[in-house]
Amino acid sequence: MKAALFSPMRYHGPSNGSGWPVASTTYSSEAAEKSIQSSLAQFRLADEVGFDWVTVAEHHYAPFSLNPNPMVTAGALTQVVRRAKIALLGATIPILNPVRVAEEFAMIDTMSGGRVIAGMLRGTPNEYVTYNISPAESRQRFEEALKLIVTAWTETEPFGWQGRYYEYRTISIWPRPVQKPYPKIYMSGSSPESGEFAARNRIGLGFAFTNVPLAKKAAAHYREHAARAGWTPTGDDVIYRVLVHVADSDEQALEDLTRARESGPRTGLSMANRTLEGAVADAGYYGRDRDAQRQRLMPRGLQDSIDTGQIVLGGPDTVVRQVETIWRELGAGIIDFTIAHDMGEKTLHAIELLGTKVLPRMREMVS
Amino acid sequence: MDAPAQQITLTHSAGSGAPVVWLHADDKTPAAVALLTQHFRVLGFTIAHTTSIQADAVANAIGPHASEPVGLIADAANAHAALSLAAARPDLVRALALIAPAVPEKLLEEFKTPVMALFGTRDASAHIGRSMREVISGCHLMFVYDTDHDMANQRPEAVEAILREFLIAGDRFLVTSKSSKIYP
Repeated sequence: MKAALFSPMRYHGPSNGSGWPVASTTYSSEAAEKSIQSSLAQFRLADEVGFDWVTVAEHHYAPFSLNPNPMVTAGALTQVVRRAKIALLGATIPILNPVRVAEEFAMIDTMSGGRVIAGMLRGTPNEYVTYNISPAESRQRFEEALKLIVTAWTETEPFGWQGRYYEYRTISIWPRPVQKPYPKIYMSGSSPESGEFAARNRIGLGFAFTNVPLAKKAAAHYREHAARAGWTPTGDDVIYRVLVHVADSDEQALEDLTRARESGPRTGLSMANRTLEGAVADAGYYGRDRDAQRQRLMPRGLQDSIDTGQIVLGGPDTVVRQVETIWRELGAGIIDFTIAHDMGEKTLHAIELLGTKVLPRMREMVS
Repeated sequence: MDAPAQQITLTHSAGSGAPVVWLHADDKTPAAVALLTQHFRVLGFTIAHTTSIQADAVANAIGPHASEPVGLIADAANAHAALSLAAARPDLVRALALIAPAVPEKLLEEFKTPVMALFGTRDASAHIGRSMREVISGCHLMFVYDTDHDMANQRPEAVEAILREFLIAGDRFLVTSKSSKIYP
């Protein structure tokens, strides 16, 4: 198994907002700088203690994440993280310029010496408001953008693109990806449509903002369609993102997280603005199992989150058992550990514990 | 020896404006033609492929219908004839668009006519662009998303739009003239 460390790069400072988008009336530049530096320090430590990947992701307009452009962060990480792969999970490609995405991934792959992991996502529903793109066209834009990006990575002669959503007269990107033929691609796979597309196109699948029972069902659907397409996904083809806090004991971990949840920033994305989310849902964003997709995004209590595998929490032994359950249920070979709350030294200690006490046993689990 | 002229048949002629000749393999007119006739006088020819067609035969067939250099479009089956004509008679062909062509077997040196090769993303093979440009160095490679060799019927609006821009502007089609202004 592999372990990744994901930080959403939350803003830890004065904020008067709930909902989405969030006003920046009380925004503190100093707090933002400190928040970002804290995340970079966590990534650096994760690299040092043996994490396989560090992960960044794109989110807009809220203190939930100070990372509207993960390409910028990944560029910085190429100079901070010396060994681990740098996973962008991901770029929200339907709302971006796909040629620019292809160029930026190639830049990061070059700057990192071939260490980029290319997550291509549709993003959370609220992101469609960000750059004023219709959520009704999300899936079609995604599929075309992905095809265009891969073509830009692989076609060495200048070419034009006459698409449905994208039109270019000539494309010839420099630099080129280091990894050949191109970096490993993952996409989000909670909906049946996404799992089927990934299976048909031999793309890795990632699960986030979900839980183990729902992800188990979606992973089985993916594997079933991969078999129809003539291939068998391995553990390396399935990522499960899970909130984490590890301490020296179960009691300490629970106490840490409970306190952090009481005093830490409360901020969300789509479900922080139900009117907007409802409009995106009505536009057809979710696909054919809309109700299940919406349900998985609903906030849950701590115990429920632990019971359904949305949070792994405890001392190292407990966390290993929880990870084992994820592996057994989903066959997810890559666990994308998400920092539940930035607790300063406690979080750095959690990363050390994951690296020294959990990761070695995860590797034994599958090898 | 030239192929008999009767092997090349004018199947339709419509529209007004600069002449565009479309060489297609069967009698069915591609759907993109109707759109092109809003901007050009489009002459459709079918070629019976019982023998190899020479450039002169094609020139003789279209010559009486074109008082000025034509924009020439050819599907896969007619790409060889179209390339031969454009190479031999740059005075007659002002721009050449090839739909899903096979890569020419020999190097076309000194090819002066602007040329574009369109490939559907469903059937474009890897490095097709490199192969095309090895034999026609100035060839513009254009991928038409979610189509195959039948792109002129599958996505007629998209195919017509790029053909129109290219046939009007030649190599200068790279610079768009579309406004990005949303409101005045």
